[in-house]
Parts: sequence; structure tokens; C-alpha cells
Amino acid sequence: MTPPTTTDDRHDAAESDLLARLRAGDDAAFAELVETHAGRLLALARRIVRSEADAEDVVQEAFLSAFKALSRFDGRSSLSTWLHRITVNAALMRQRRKAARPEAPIDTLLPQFEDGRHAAHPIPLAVVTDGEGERIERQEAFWHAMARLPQDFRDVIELRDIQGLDSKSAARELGISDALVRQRLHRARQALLTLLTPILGDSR
Amino acid sequence: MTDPNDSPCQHAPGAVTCEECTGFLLDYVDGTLPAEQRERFEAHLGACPDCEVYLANYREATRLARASGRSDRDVGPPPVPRALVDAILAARKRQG
Repeated sequence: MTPPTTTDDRHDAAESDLLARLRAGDDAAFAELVETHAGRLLALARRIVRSEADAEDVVQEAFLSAFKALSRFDGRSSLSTWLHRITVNAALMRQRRKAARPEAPIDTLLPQFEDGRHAAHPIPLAVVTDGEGERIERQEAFWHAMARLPQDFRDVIELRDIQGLDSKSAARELGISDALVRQRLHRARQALLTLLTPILGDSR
Repeated sequence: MTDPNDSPCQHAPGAVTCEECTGFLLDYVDGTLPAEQRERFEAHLGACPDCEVYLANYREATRLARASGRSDRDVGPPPVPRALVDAILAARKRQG
């Protein structure tokens, strides 16, 4: 008996079909890809770079990188997850160039210990209220901190914490082990904390 | 830097240290820390204000990341300027 077709199966079949057409160089398939995803990616880029012109440039750059890399896209994740990650990377690269903020080596961003104890007292991050201004400020702080992380560490935050994938799916997407995803995620979250504390730390 | 003597954490010899406690954080927040380790972790946490703050901060950094990815999933994609779609497709042609 043929198993019933699920929405996921239909989505997978439609995506495989689109991918085959893209690889064959079908103009209509490229138009479909851009029209389907550009809105969401533009909203994402706007949150990171904050200027409309930059956000549009980022989305264009991201699509052009994706077109070039299509032959290497192996379908481990959905096209949507893949494009999201390319866009975040393009936006953070641009932000980093503009702000002249280089990547920081991860080891310099991890908490330090002396005799097994925290070498400096951790400062609590400020309590969130509902203000729109504060929400934007916190989001900007987050993206600035992300821009300083080395790419391997950004990728795991992006897939696990931002896109909400589980460790197994993130591991498949990145082509690394589940254990390495978890190790990088832990280090990346700690590094983010180090970078966020001077901006959001509540040092009353 | 704090003087270790000034640390609020007075862990007993052989007990979990702040450094070990920090190593358990991901498994703890994911709920995958084995029961015996979880008990030792929580005992340390109850006696160490530094680690209590650090755990709250760790959770907050995760919440912040989730929030930064949320709005496009919640409200659906905004309209895209037609000029942008056309520019991307034209640039693809030039890219060859």
C-alpha cells in the first residue's frame, strides 16, 4: 500500500523539482526562488543592518552567492534554511566592514576562572521591559555581538537559537557531528554573553 | 578581576566548582544533564550567586537570539520591492 502523502512530502517534492529546474538554468525557477524568499530575507537583513539601502544590497548579495553555490547545495536542509544562513552571513560581513569590527578569537571571549571560581563577578543583564525602543536596542546589541563571533560559532547560534533547529538537524546542515554542534553552541553562547555584558549589563 | 577570597562562592573541597558548573550549562538548560550531576549542579547553584547570575544571563542570551529570529516567522514576509527582484534577476544574468 502506498503511504499517504503528507504536506512535508509534497513540500520536499516541490523543492526537489525547483532545485532541478534551478540547476538546469531555468529563468522562471530563479524568478520563483527570489519572489518566494526575498520578502522574508529582506525583513531579516533590515533587522541586522538597519539601513534600507544596505538591507537590499545584502539580499542581492545573498542571492548571488546562493546562485553561485547552487551546485554545492546538497539538500541536507531546506532552501529556506540555507538562504537564511547565507543572508545572515552577508549582513554580518557588511556590518563588520562598516564598523571595522574584526572577528574576535573565541578563546578570548570565554569566561575566565581562578582556582575554579569566576575570575570576575558576572554582571546581570538588564531586565527586559516591553518598550519598543528597548527591544530595538537589544536586537542591535545582539547583532553587533554576533558580528564579532567567528563564523563556525555564528552558524550554530543561527541554526539552533535563531532558526530553532535541533542539534541533529543543525549538524546535518553543517556537515559536522551533533557533539561538535553542542560544543560550539555552548562556547558561542558564552562568547555572546561576554560581548553583550558591556552593552546590556545592569551594573547598578 | 576578583580576589578569590572575595568570591561569594565558598565551594567545599571536592564539590562542583564554578568552572565545572559552567561546563554543565548547556545540558542543564536543555534538560539532558543526568540526575546525579543535576543535583550536584543545583546544590552549587543554590550556594553561588555568581553561577546563579551566569545561568540567568546564559538563558537571556538564548532568548535574545530566539527573539531576533521571530518577527519574520510571526507576521509573514513583507512585500518585496519589484525593483529589487528585477535587480537580482538581472545581476544573475550578468553573473552568467
